[in-house]
Amino acid sequence: MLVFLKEILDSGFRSVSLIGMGKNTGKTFTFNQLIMEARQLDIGVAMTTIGLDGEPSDSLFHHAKPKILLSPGQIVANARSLLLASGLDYEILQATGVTTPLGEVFLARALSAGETLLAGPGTRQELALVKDQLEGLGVDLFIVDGAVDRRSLAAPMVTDTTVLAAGAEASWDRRRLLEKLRHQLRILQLPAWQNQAQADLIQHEYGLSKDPDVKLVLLGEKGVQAVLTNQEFFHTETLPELIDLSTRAVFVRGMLTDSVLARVLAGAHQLSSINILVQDPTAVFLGPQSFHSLDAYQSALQVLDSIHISAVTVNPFSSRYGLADPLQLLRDVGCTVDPIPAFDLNLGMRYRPEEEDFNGIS
Amino acid sequence: MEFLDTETRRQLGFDQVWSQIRPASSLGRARTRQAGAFGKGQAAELEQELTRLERICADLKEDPKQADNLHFLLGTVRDIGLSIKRSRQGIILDDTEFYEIKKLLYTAEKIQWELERLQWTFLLPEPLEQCASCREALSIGQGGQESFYISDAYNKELAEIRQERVMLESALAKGRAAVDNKLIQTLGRLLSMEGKIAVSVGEREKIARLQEIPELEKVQETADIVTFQLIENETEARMKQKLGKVRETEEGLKEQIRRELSQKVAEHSSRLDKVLEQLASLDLTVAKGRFSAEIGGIKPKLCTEPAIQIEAGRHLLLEEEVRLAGRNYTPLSLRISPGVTLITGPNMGGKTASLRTIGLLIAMAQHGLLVPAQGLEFSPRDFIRAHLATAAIPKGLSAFAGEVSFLRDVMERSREDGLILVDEIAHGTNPVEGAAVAQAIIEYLIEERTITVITTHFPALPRVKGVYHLRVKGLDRDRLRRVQADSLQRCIDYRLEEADPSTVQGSDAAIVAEALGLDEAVIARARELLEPSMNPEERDSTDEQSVISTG
Repeated sequence: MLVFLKEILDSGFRSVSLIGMGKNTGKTFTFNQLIMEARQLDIGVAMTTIGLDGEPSDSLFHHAKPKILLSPGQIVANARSLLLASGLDYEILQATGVTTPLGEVFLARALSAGETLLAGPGTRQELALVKDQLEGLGVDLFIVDGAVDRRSLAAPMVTDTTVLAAGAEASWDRRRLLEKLRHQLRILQLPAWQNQAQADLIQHEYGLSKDPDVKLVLLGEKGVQAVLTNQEFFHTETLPELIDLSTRAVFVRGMLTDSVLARVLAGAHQLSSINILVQDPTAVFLGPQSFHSLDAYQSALQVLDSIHISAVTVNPFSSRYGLADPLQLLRDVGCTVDPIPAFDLNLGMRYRPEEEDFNGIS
Repeated sequence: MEFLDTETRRQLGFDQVWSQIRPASSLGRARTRQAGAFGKGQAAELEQELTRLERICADLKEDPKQADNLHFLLGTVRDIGLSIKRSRQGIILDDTEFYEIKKLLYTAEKIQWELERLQWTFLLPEPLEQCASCREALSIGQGGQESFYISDAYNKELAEIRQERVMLESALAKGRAAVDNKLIQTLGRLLSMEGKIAVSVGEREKIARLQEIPELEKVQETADIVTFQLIENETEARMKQKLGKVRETEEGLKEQIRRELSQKVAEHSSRLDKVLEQLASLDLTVAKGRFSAEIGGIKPKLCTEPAIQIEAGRHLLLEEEVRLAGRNYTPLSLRISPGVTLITGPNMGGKTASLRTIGLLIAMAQHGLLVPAQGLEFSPRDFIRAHLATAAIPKGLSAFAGEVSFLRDVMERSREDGLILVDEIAHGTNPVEGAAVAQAIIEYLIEERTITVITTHFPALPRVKGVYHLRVKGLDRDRLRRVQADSLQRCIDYRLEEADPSTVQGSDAAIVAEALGLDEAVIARARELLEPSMNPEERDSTDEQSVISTG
């Protein structure tokens, strides 16, 4: 029974992205595992990457970039030069109009089996465009491999669900690793704001493509109360005057950093609680301390576009220290991320909280 | 001399208007950037273009959405010019290029069908080039799909070598698949990409099962993990080696086919270029048609008699400005002919706007656009040149010197059928000398073929013999007395009327100044100064210059 992919498909997800806590967290292993399970289950798969700069080796460790294994019938959205250099037999299906330093991204169906490097679109909008173009090509599952940088975090916004790869490489110190993981998941899993009408209003009036000079939007029961530009927010003290007891939420446009949050909370000190809204988790650049402040103010941080995490995979390998005890690592991570399922795909194990013993991990 | 120079385009607002024409494809956009005006000698072509647009416009007026599919199809057209050029240079194209060429030809076919459905085939002098034999060459064995791959049908040898490759691949995959199946049944797992499977040392039962699978061998055991790997037997090793060679041969054969296909493309290159050319031109025409429909344009009438007659013409940008300010826009109507037309009237009376409207309408018409007016009749011009109050002053020159250099250039061509627009002629120097220079220029231009329109405040100029004098109707004094000063613009009648020398225009300046709240004593003194023997016409203009300009 191939559990990993099946869980994703059984939940009705048709696109999945992979993001990693850092280098060597086993993201590519997870990616290939999904592809092979899909082939075994005869699932039509399309795949691409986001945020890969296309250099033949990664700049941090100078390792050769991992290749992915393609089977006949599988579809890739890949940069032209990599497509042609792979030496595989392809049917060219469509030009996407999305360009990368390695050429335009084409949709192509593999006609032979083999390995290839992948480089897909660089931005969220482009990824969404590619995803749209895959419609009608008989794709059951679209898999997006995110590179390890901030940009790749855009992938979860485009896909139905996301798998987070965590590993000993991110921190050998277990306590720190788990703290990092907990913090990252807290951001990734920020809840969606439930006031749909106002969420639509903000998306429409102040969303991604709108006037970049707006920093803050104050919302009351009846809609927008006030709008602050960057200048007004950062260089004047008008915020405390504008926030009153009827203010229900504050939408922070662009990045929410520790200092932006501190300024918002200070401006809203007369309120017993406040909802702080951001576009999506990628806009959140908060340290753990800021979450303590939010808790202290009884304030909720919510997003307009939320991310779904369906699994965390662990990799005990560390390039500096070697292998960590894989079972202990899986147990620790599994406990931390529960109820999200945790897997060690290399060992074919899944952490089960209800059976907290060694045999229970299977 | 080009039809419009950069400065004239800017001053008339032509670039802004032209940028509102948005073809769907990059080819069409490039064509829009390169497009020039129809020359005087191309009157027949211009007439044809305007007729085409008029027909599209009429259809779009009936159903604005009916060309959406055509617009969509044009939007999928890509510029494959580089690949065509490469093929001509003998370069072997790659599969993405073959795909693009094939796709373009399919799209051209659909566009031709769409033109037929819309009954718009008149938009192209001849049907879109289909390059059927090129498309066929790129479609062999591909089941009529728009995608591209080198199918077995291209070459028997390729088909055979592929068959061999597939057999080897399946044979190799079979061994692995057998192990995968065993693993799924026993452990619910698959081999990794590298053909490995790892388990925790504590899972003794699983290790035992893995050890029972003869195709696997234990390759690594650490304190925590035991790893097994698929054993590669000699037969498989040989098959792999063979597979490598077969793939090499296959690639060689495919490259041979690519070479042949590239030659085929090269043979058809001029026809392919023609398709691109036709599509670019079609895209621009359709975009012009859509734009013309959006602005409610009408077809200008070309005439041979050298004249321009505008009926309720609108300057799109000014109209928008006025609309945003919440005021009513006054369209322009006039008839002008070779020689000099003078426009006089109060400041803020729309004299400059009249020049811009005349220039823009003619520029649009001669670029093959329908125009925002109730009527436009004109004889095509050789050039349009404008020098407005907003003109950029050339480096190192004063405003007056800049104007003189403009006048020098245009006067050299005043024997051609041009359109010269000069705002407040010679106002940047001593008024007495300025008026003299202006009069001399007017006397020079008055006998010329070119149509010249000049605005001025100099009182003597309208009296130059042969000048056609138009003036802004001007202030509605009763209304001005009733409303606030900030509504001054609402009290001006911007329409032009032929000036009648026998009637006397009153002193709008003093009234405006009063309305704007200038000190009563100052107003009284100004009226006192105006009283003596001054000719009413002179009085009128002098007042405008000295007083209204403050408003």
